[in-house]
Amino acid sequence: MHKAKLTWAGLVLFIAGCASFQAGAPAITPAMVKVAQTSGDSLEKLERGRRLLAMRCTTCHALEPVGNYTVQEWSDIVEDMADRSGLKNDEQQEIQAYLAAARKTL
Amino acid sequence: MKLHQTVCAIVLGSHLICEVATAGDRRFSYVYESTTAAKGEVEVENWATWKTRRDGSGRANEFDFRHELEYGVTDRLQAAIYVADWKVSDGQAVYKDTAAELIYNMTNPVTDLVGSAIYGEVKLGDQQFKLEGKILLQKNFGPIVMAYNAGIEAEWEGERFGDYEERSGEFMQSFGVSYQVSPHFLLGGEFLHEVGFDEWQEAGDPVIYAGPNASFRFDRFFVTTTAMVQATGVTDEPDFQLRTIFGMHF
Repeated sequence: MHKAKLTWAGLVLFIAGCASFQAGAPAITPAMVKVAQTSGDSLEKLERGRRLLAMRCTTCHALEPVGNYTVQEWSDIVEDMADRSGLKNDEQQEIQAYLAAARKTL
Repeated sequence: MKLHQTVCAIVLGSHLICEVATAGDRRFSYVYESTTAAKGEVEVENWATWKTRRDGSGRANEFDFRHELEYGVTDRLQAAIYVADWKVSDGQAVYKDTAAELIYNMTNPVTDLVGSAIYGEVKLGDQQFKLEGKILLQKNFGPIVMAYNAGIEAEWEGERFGDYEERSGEFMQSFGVSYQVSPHFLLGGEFLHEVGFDEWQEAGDPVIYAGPNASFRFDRFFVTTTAMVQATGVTDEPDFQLRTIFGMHF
């Protein structure tokens, strides 16, 4: 009985974690690629942006759900955090492109 | 130069280097995370560990210090130097060793099923030589981060440099979980299990530690501290240890 409760608690934690992650760095969809292409950004750029977001930003903090901020707010946040996380200009742009595409297709 | 002057110079030097460094804030004091510094980034950490154990009718205390400089060689490979490991025991400051460490990140703890890295360390002191290898695993579930390490350490000791008569090994594993209460404050716990092998033969008594940790991070620095209580009754190992890691970046 006790074991079953622990298993359920673990499962809930896992699902909540996965859901939380999906909200912070959703997988790249064809719709996101289409939106990105209108701004001249490629699938490869979105992939690099997502990988950088997952690697650099989570070193210090959990990811916020993409829907919490507008595209402009995300752009400002990334710019503010770039120095703190050691992002170069092109890396900053890759993350901004990914977040913009993710936000516009919510 | 006297020992305490050398130590002061190292500490001061570390803090000056901090002024040009950026840091990946640590969530744990004993457990390593699988993520590495970005290419070209420099990070400085200062460690302090208080260890205490029963000694007859009183207590024996030891204070260990480490000054570490990390550098991101590539986005996946991180190199580090422990400029100095030293301790204060019985009122005497003693230099222990200097070490080099490499961590190679293989998978990402967010986008991959499990984040992973391999860890290698070479440590050289005037009376000891150590080699250590570890596997580092990590998974991030939003504000919750879990990390697990397992490793083997080989140590050679002797009365003087290069003349190592004793050899021993140690298996260790550690686990940590951390919850982000806010971006500036994280709470969690760590678990440490070690087994020594004298002359690589008979296993010694396993030692298990567990305890809570807390991490504070602000704009330009972080402090992470963990208090570990020994859950086993091994009397020649510390029954309590408290480690604090301080990092700064500008």
